Parts: sequence; structure tokens; C-alpha cells
Amino acid sequence: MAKKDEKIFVIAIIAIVIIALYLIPLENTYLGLFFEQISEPNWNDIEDRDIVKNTIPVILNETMNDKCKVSAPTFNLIIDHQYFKRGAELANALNYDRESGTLVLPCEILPDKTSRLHVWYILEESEKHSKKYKYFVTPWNETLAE
Amino acid sequence: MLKIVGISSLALLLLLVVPIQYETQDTNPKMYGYATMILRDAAGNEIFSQVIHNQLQDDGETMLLNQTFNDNSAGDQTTDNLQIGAICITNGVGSVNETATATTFNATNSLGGNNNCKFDTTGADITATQGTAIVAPPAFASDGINVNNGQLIRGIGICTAGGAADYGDCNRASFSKLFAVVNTSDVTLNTGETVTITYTFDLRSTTT
Repeated sequence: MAKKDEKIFVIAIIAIVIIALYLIPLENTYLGLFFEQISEPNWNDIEDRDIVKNTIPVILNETMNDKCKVSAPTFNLIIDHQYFKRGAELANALNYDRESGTLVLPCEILPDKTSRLHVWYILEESEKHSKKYKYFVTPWNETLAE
Repeated sequence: MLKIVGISSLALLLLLVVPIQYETQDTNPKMYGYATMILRDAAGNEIFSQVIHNQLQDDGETMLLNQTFNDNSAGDQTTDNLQIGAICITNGVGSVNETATATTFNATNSLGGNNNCKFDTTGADITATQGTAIVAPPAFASDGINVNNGQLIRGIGICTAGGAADYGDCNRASFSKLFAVVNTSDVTLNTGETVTITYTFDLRSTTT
């Protein structure tokens, strides 16, 4: 009998959790905070004041299978800024060579020989998605920085 | 097993119902300012651009309030071409905090005897419309015009306007105010290179 009561209790709790998941907005809960840490930000929802947007030209130097080495002599201006807490991580991810001023990018994201690399990052003090960043490449004549 | 599932579900429920903060109204004003900086090489090609938020100075906040409200403030600046309208470059912005004034801003700047500030004397630079004001003076140049070749620019100050298109520093007169500071990326201007800086101050709320 006790086992049966236990089962009913657990099923009831699970039902309440499912209903709560459906009805309660997660954004102001601890669970929401947890999901925020592991999810990609919706950049349109982040306050403009909390995002730093940078762009630089990148010029294709060399193709190595599906990887492309590009010249990016001003990339240091982005990653060295004191607000960009994960700049070193991005430099590492893109195999940045500070001496030669080159990066390695997937060839599939490069639209032209000269393209525009955008690097956006969220300030550490932002309430949402603190320190997250993204990069993307557009044709050189497309300016999305403002 | 049943107990573990039950306890886990209860914990999950707790995480779901305990708020971490009160929900804020999205209709709050979003007063903020930001700078847009475009660095060009000697041939005029863009080599770096950045959009970055400012730090509004205490002096800037006070100035806004003094000029908006009937407060008998002796410091009101009502002459249009002496209001906020200039951008000054500096190599010392890292040590400028929120209480810094035009005097402090100058004290930390060692860019030298060049004209570190820019203002268009026609006043046509300032576009104030639909909740935003845009200060957009002509580009800063190297070759001793605004900085010497090879000098490092580390940030900018938004200042009360100067009397000339190019002038010495933010603290040019007794009424001078430092409105805001932007800690930009460190850029070096070599011969022929220029940097265009635009400052936008935005008072729009999401419903207007």
C-alpha cells in the first residue's frame, strides 16, 4: 500500500513539474539561469549597450582542404580589448598567428577573396549571457556593425 | 528508485518556482551612448571598425539635468555651439573613472601638443532627432594634425564643443564638461591613416 502511495505521489509531482514547465516562464528562475549558461543567446534580446561589435577585413591567403588561411592583420585590435574576456579563447579557436597576422577559417563561410569578419561579444557585466561571443563572415560590402 | 525520481522532481520544481529576480518592465527608458570607430589605412581602406558602449560621467549626468530642469543652476550652458558637440581622443582612458572631469581627462592624456579634439564649427554635425543625438565630426588624422605618427589612441571623450574645428583638449574653458568616455580598442595612427569616430546618444524607449 505504501508503495502505491509513493507511486501516486511521484506521478503527481512529475505532473506538476510538467505543468510548471509549460506555464512558468523560465527566464527569471534558477533553471532558466542554468539553461542560459548552456544555450546560444538570441542576440536581438541582448541590450545593445552590452554588446561590442567589431569588424575587420580578412583576405584569403591559402586553402588547405576545407580550411582557409586568411590574412587578418588587425585581429589583435579585437581580442586584446580589456572588455573581451574570452579573446584568447577565440584566438586559439581560429589558430591566430600574431606574428604573421593570420587566422584559419572554414572555407565554406568565406564568401569572397576579401570578406568581412564580424566578432560580437557580450560584456561581463551583462545580466544575460555574460561573456559569450560569436563570429561570422559576410561579403566585404555588407556592413552590419551599426 | 522511486524515491530518487520523487526527490529529483521536487528539486526541479523548486528551481522552477523560485525566482532569481523580479521581472523588469521592458518599457523602461534605455538611455545610453555608444561610439562607432572606423580605422582607415593611408589609401582610405577600412581596416577595423568597432561599436562600443560608453561610460556616462557624473559631470555629464549633472549637465543633462541642469539643462533640462528649472533648477537655478549657475552652470547651465545654453549657448548651442558650446554644448556637447566635440570628440576628443586620448591615450589615457584606462585610468578615467566615472567621476573624472574634463580636467582629469586631460591630465591622463599625453598625446602631446596636437589638436586632440574635433568639432565642426558649423554645428551641422549634431543630428538630434527622434530620441537620438549623433556627434559626427570629420576623421581624426595623423601626421601631426590630431596625433603624431605612431601615437596610440586608447579611447575617446565626449566633450562640450570647442571654438574651432580642431582644438587642443577637452578642458579648453572654465565651462568645459566631459560628458562621456569610451574605452575603445587601442589603435595606432601611422602616416596617412585616419580614424572616424561617431558618438550616438540614445534616449528612446522600446515603445517610442
